[in-house]
Amino acid sequence: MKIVRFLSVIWVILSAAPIYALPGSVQNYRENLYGNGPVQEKERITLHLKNIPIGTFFEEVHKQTNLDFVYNTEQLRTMPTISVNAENELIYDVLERVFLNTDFSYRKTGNIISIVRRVESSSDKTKSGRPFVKGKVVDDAGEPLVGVNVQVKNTSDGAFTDVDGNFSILVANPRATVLTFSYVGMKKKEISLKGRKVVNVTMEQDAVAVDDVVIVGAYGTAQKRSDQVGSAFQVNSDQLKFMPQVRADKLLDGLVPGVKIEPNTDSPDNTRVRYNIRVRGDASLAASNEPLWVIDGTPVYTGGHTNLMPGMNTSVSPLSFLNPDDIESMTVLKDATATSLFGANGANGVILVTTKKGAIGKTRINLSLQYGVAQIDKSTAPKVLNASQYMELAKESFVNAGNDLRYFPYTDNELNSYSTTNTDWMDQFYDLGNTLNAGLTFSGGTNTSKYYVSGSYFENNATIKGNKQQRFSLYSNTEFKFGSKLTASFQLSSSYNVNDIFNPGTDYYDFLPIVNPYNADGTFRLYNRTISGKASNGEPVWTDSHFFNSIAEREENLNQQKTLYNNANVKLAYDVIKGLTYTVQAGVEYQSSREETYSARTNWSGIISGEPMGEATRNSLNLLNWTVINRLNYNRTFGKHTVGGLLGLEANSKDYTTIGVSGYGFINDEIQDVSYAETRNASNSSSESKSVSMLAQLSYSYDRRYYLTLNGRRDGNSQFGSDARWANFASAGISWNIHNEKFFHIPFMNVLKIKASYGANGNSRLGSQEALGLYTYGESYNYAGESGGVMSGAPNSKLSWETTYMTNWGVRMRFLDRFDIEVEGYRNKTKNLLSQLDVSRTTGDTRVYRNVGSILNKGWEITISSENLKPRKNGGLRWITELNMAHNSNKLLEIYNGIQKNMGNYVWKEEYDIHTFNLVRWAGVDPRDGAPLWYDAEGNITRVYSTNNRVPGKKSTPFVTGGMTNTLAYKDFSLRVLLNYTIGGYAYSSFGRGNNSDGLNIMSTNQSVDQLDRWQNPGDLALNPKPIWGVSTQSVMGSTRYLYKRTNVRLQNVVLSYQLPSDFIHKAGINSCIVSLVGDNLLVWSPYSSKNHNSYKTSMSGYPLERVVTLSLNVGF
Amino acid sequence: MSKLLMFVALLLTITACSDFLEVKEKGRTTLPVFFSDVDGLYAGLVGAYNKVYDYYDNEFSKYAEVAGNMASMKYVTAGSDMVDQYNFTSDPSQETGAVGYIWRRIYEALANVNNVIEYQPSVLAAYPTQEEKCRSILGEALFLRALCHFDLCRVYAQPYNYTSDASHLGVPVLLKTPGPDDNPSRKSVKEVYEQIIKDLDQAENLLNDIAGRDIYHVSLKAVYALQSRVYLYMEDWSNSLKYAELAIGNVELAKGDEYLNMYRNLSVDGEAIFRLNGINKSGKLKSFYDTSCMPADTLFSLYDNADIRLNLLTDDATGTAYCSKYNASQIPNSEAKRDDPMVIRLSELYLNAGEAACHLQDYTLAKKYLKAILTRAVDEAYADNTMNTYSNEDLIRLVKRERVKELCFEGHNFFDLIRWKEDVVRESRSNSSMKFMAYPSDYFVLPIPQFELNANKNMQPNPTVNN
Repeated sequence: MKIVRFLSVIWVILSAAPIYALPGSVQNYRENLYGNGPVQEKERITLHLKNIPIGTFFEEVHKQTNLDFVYNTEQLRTMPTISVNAENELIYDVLERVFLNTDFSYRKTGNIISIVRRVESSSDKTKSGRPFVKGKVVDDAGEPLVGVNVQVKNTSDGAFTDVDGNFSILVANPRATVLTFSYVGMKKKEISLKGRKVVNVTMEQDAVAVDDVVIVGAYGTAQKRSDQVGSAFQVNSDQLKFMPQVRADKLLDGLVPGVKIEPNTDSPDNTRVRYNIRVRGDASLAASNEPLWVIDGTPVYTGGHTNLMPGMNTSVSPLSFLNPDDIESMTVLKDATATSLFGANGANGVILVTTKKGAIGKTRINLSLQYGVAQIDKSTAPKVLNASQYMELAKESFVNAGNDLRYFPYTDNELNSYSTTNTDWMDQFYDLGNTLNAGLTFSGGTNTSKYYVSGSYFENNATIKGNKQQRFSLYSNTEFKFGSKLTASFQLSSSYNVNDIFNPGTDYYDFLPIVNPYNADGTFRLYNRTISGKASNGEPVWTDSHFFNSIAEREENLNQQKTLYNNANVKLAYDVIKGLTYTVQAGVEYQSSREETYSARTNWSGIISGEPMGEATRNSLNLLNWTVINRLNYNRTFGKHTVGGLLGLEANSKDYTTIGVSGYGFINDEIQDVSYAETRNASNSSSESKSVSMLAQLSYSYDRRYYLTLNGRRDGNSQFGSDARWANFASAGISWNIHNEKFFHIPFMNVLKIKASYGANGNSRLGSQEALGLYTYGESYNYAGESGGVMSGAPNSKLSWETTYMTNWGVRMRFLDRFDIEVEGYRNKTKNLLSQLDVSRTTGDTRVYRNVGSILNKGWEITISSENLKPRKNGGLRWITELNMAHNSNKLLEIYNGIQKNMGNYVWKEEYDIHTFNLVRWAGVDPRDGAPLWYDAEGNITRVYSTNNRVPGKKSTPFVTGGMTNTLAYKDFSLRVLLNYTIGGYAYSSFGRGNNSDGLNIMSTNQSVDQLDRWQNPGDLALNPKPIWGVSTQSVMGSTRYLYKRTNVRLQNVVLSYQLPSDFIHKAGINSCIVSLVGDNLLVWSPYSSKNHNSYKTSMSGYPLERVVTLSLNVGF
Repeated sequence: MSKLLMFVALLLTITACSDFLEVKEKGRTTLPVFFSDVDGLYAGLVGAYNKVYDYYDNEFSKYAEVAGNMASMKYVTAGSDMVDQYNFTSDPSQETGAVGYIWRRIYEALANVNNVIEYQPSVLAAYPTQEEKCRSILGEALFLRALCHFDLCRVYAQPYNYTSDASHLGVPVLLKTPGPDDNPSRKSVKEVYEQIIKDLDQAENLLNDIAGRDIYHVSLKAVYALQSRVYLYMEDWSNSLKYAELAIGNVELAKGDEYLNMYRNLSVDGEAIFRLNGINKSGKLKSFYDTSCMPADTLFSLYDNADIRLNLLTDDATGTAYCSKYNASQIPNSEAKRDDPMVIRLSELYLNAGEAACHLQDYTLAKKYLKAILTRAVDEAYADNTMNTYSNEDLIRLVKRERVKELCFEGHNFFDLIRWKEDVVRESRSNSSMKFMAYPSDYFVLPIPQFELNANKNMQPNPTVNN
């Protein structure tokens, strides 16, 4: 590790290359070393020094020439002090002189001088008869690694790899020699030569040694983790590998502290679940709470406030149109210094997605194939009654309602044989699913151009039948250098997506088990025959009622969405003067979606007013967003001072149009185009908004000890009132690397760092034009046959941004080279909350958007990584644990006039979490007669339900959330296990409420298995009241009865990989080959779940979890 | 360095283009854009009429009847439409009932009216050649503003004569649509009426066509008519009489089928002066009088058996009590759900004139107008006979009785009762929980809705027991 550290020291001190736009991977790190960057070395030096260490000499040369030096300090310790006298002399001549008569010589590559042990010739054997060993070092993606230190173990002999990753080294005895390979951010590797003269080595990233990983920042800024001032958490491609490929946002689940990813509802509303992503809690009441997504510098649209896509019946997230394999890193920006460069859109956090790019070297080809099989985890599905349980409970309820069983509706007849039917609707709606992912990438580059091209196909046949996702994606990223100063890059991400969407809603647990989906003749069932009453002669009256058979809808209807998605970026960068780069970037996001649905004439969805009609809709959405950014980045080091600056201007436009047509009345089901429908309808909507921003950053650091960052942004937004169109946001942050202080003498402590930041951010994501007041035309505003317009929104010229004031502090400690702990705390106060609030009716409106109130989110986040087991020798067992936990508490400090606001089951009340439930407290069942009991507002038991007894109580916000990743490596095997956990918090279950009706809805809806625990006889201490068929005792009214505790742990992702031995595969011309077995959603554990009852585990998202097992093959050529 | 300059230049260009942030929304527009020309201004006026129709064809008109003593409700279960006003159990929380809706709908109308008035001068300045049209738009809008203020005052404030100087609480006077933070407060009834008179006087100056475009739009005659009614409420008898006579001109009352057809087939030939047009809308009053509200026995007892007006109060087929003033059987273009609420018609002006003349002790004049009403109702003999049974001093009772009979279910009953400082006395078999309520009463005004009080800290509640 020592060498690694020295290398990093050298890098920082001696390199003046600007560290902007550095995606956080090692390969890009190298790119800056060798990238023929803006810095052109001077060739001549003037030096007059006496008896100095060689290191000082290098520093001086670096200052004058900008050449960077790479060397092994251990080796150079043998060099005596030197004296140099040079007057405007060529550097190479000076170097020759210095190394004359030493064991060392130098090699120049680009503007890097590597100091190596002297070798006499490049022939196979030297004069001394010692042979050369050659080879190539690549990373686990097959990319060559430059500057890897190759050493003969237990000697000081060593060499560095060149631009193509090649090395050659003299060894005394190839049979008994062990070579060690070390490189920043990579696991150290030892290879026993066993007589070989060619050794190719693949190095793996070291999860713990992330200290020098570059964290991507806003607008081309970047910082190494050790230099960080703000709070930004980055997930790199190796962590994203083997995660489900369905959509980009889900990749972050459990990996990033303080980021919560949850379905927006617990009822089965959408098989393409809309996820709420929350970075450090909810900061807004009415505007969006979603973070801003930025792909390669360009903000992208991920749907409206709640991720709804305009114009579409089903919202498919644009984040599912990206191929996760093309993502190099995802960085979550959380505090003010990290986000305030995004000003009015930064308040909810920012997620930066950086895509992959090529690296200098020969063309590399990578092929990946994945095939997975999916099955639902039945223990996470709502538990409902089977046929015999249903019949028992239904009959009992029927009798309890004072009915005669002779008239029990579900009595067998020629249409339905209720008593012999036992349909498991889960089986009807779910099946085995599978996923297929095939990808091919080409990448490479020369000094003047780099490229990365990938094509991939992804297919997911979901376990819920009638749902399929296909993604054909093409991605290319190319970069060209013109001369020494101008760089142009073109990035295009394009995909065509086909989504088959069928949503059975709650049918899969609501349908009665005593009903068969098919008639006796095999056709789809459309009617049930039941007894509906008693005729005057005492005979039962039979009625045929509609059975809305969604199985028939799935098989006969069409529900498809096709989307062409493009995200393109063009970037031109010009090095103005040393350290100063001007960049202009234009990004365009284009999405064209087409949704087609058809409800067939043969099932109830296409039967209108009793007539077989057929109904078709055709919806389209065209969305175009563009962003132009002009910026100047500056970064330069003067001795111990490093100064960075950024000045930028951004213009942004968002605009979409939807067109929808629908029609019903078709001759048959073959003709489904709306033109042929008897009755047709059309609709159209559009929206446009624009913003202009100016931004600036100033950063300064001294001696790698003290850091300061200042940010400012000025935003103009078309959505706001003329009085408030422009707003300013600013932030400041500082950090102190105590471990770099001279006085710091704690031997076991490697890093001790503290940081703090404060600043402001806005939230502008409201509708457009709410501020100006709106007039709407329309037929309903006509008068006496003339067209009229009325005010549809009262003007509020003072409408402005929400502003979040963020305070962040953090401490990081790393000790014993094993443990790394980072603790961050934050306090985010949002003022001027945008909220659609009741307003004086004298304004002509009832509710308008206003800036009122404030909200506070505060919490802490802890990230721990620990290398529990360090391998003694290469290939030994290694175990790394990474644990993150986050706590957020939310409090509404102030709302308009302090008036409590009831929001369904929740309440907005001052001093309370905005996710506080406001419910009548359930007091159980009266053992005397099985009647439901509640507590009144004072806490006394009552038999009468009243919403006046609602009290704010439990909240849905969990106490702690987070994830834990364990990585084990042994020889060529590795195992990674990701656990995701939630502790504390309550959920109001829509399944619980809908399916525990105590007889009220038992005729139409199957019931939860919990209902079996019911009151039957006086004295029974039952969970549920006496069930009474079709009678409301108000027991089903909203109460704490339906709250479930949320604590649970999920085994989210497990990856077992085996890397085929290199000797073996090299013969086949393959560079690397990894075979993996991946498991997703393998287990969910909750202390509150049980076999016979429903719990949070069975009603988390409305759908059961999919357990997926995938076999993956990754081959690099 | 040149690049740096280029960058700065770029920066300046984009910021200079402040137009960049001006975005037009399709399908709907911002206020300034909507009101940028005469067509927009006119469309705004059409929208304002639409909103006035909205409040007339709703709880506002129903309230004047169910709170009065001539109507009987069919359903009195809790939560039925208007039952709280029938029982005088209105409370401020009834946001989704008459309490909240009347307030909200009239203010919606008022905001739309005020927007037209606010933007009219700038449109006129930009299109001086269309002065005539702009003038009449403003005139009509001013009338509608007066009407909104007047109607709000009638519902949420005690009548003008409740205090001797009308200094009791009225409603806010709005000459411009307030912003969300303006929070207007209530003015005294006197101040509200002053503004009403001011608006009507200005409208009188702006409108020159006595008959106007049609009965569905404000005409000079409608302005006179409303002036007459406002002065009547103010007990300014001579002005009331003056404007009533200006509105009447030499026009005679509609008679026979012409009278009935105003209601039966929405004929424009009757005596309507200003009536709201419900074309292509689904009339709420129609369904209310179809199913929920009937004339009470107290009303029937007032009529002579031959009275033409009974035709509008009984079901032709069954002969049972049924107000058919909104149930046109032969509607143009077969719009089955249409009704056209009456705002002002000629008979009212005859009655205004009669009432004013009584107070001015010009009994001959009063009798002239009463006779026209009674003659049209039955015949001349009936008119003379009836009038002969009343002494001059008592004639006012006859005027009031005829007013009740003539204008029933047209939004006058309760407002007239409390203006006359009379107790509300219901029929003995009334199903209301309130059969008698003495004047004066805090219950005679609706409470200011709680939502308004919550949102507007300057809004004073009504001093009723409920507020």
